[in-house]
Amino acid sequence: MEGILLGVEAILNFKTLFILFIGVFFGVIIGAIPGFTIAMGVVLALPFSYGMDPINGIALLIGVQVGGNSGGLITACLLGIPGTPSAVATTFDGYPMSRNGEPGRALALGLWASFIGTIISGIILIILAPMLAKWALAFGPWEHFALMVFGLCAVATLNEGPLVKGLLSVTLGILISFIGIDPLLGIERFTYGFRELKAGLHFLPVLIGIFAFSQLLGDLNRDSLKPSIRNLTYPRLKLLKDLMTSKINLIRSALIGVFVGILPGAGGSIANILSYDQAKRFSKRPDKYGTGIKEGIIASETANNSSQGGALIPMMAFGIPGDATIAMLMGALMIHGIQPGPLFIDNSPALANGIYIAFLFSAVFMLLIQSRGIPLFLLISRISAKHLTPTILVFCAIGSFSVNNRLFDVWVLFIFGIIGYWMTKSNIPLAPFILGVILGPITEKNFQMSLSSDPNLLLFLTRPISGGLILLSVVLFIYPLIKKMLNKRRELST
Amino acid sequence: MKDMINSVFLICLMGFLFYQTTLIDAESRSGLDALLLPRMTIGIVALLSIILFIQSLIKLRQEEKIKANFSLAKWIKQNKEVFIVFISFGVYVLLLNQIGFIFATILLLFFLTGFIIKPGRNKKRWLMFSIYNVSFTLFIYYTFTVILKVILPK
Repeated sequence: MEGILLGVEAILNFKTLFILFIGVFFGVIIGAIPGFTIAMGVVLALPFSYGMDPINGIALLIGVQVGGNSGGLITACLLGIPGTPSAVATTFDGYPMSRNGEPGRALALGLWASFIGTIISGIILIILAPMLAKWALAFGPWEHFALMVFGLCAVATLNEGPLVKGLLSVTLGILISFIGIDPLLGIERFTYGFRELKAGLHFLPVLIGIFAFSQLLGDLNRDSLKPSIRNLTYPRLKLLKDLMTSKINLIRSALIGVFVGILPGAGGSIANILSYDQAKRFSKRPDKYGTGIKEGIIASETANNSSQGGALIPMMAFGIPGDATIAMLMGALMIHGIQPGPLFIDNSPALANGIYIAFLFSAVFMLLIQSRGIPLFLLISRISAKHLTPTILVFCAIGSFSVNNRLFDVWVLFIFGIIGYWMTKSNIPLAPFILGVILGPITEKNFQMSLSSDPNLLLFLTRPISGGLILLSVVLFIYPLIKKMLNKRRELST
Repeated sequence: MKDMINSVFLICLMGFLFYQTTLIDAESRSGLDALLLPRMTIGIVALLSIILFIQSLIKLRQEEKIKANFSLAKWIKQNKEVFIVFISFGVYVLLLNQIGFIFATILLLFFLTGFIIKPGRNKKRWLMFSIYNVSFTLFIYYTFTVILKVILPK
């Protein structure tokens, strides 16, 4: 309770609230423009956060993230085009509902579902993160290593593409992380005489290059939209009735979103589809899904927003980012000299709790901004993403340069932009790569610490938590292979 | 076909990196090996690349057609915009240290405005974009260096 009050004190001042508001507003704009991902929005905001106090910088980025996740519903409902990947399932019923003459209802449902999802996940975040952090404090290096391996396996196996490409992506990312001086032994690896490589590659320019830079180039041919502004209102009493009759759907979708968000690499883009699928399975009228029913919109929007709270949990408790945007949040913290992990909540209670409160307040701002500003965002969605490409490239350069104030990082951005583009064109997922880059050094460090304490490798399996996590990692790895084999047998037998 | 090329490339790259590890003096008094995990990872990437190669070979045979009509010139033409943007960004990074953030950024924005947005001969649009490019650059420079105290290349 004391921690929460510290967080409230950190956030409740005009400057921080204003910055949070601007972040949410900007995030909604980014989310409303198809072709822009939330990661790009965070990249744009990232350089601004460097010069701010840690709490203000984080508030800005959280605002962008929450606003961006919700902003995607506008074009999803009104044009059938998801503003962000986390709004794909929203189009399944949001757009048909608009075509059926109820655009205001679609938007109102999506907006309130987003709000409720964010609040529920925020509450779970506040309860669960400190508990898990306390649990993680009891970990030795074996457990930390096993946890990192589990996180890496999760991100490699839970992505939507082929398993082998997910694994390739994560191992390539880990390989990149070996560049520089070994964390314990001080031996130079793969530096090729470059002084700048001795400290290794900072993950932020890599992240910006892989995600933002490469995706910008992939969208060069995207056309702009021509939405029309229609009557977008919906009576509040009817909205309340719609929500009250979907209580179970709301809670189930929120929990699915939190669970998916906790898994590294699985974010809103998976949460919204999984939640939609589950809502359809549990529904008494599954045949109605896709025709414009409220349950579809509620399932998708609740889950994609609640996944953000879920993604914050491993970052706060273990120092493992739940997705790429959380990785950028982590980067922003690290630039301010703060290391997220099990000790973060105890060492920086005001900041840690401030993050929770900022998350909850961002939901309130998101509700206010979207309920009033939808006509404006519709106009903004007319802007072609490619018109903003030059501006965003400049922000990518600033964001990379400002990490260490050296041009070398901008070259890193450039090279990883090329690598990211190649990966996208080759259908190799990006999220596992970036998690490999971030978690590689911690994984290796814990591995070496374990061996230097006791060279017995069997300890990784015989220690209960470590063994359990490694077993789970194996299950994650084997499950898709077994599922594929069973599906093939079923196909052959039919 | 793409997967086959990528897997061959990765196998060769892993071979090269493994050779590089043999050149590193990784002896330590503690008995720990700084090259253990890198070599294991190189091995895993190589193995996965071989699996990918085999999978793509099987897929190619199942489809019973080899796409031998790949043309480098055609591929470059299809991705022309991407290459030009990459090259222009590379030139921008080179210029950042030579002429500073403001001039390099204005040049980049003008070039990309003409290339991506294509105002053509519309003087009004060019004027609008010119005002935007210059004022945006100056605004960003002022915001970062004066207000946020973030260093930018000079």
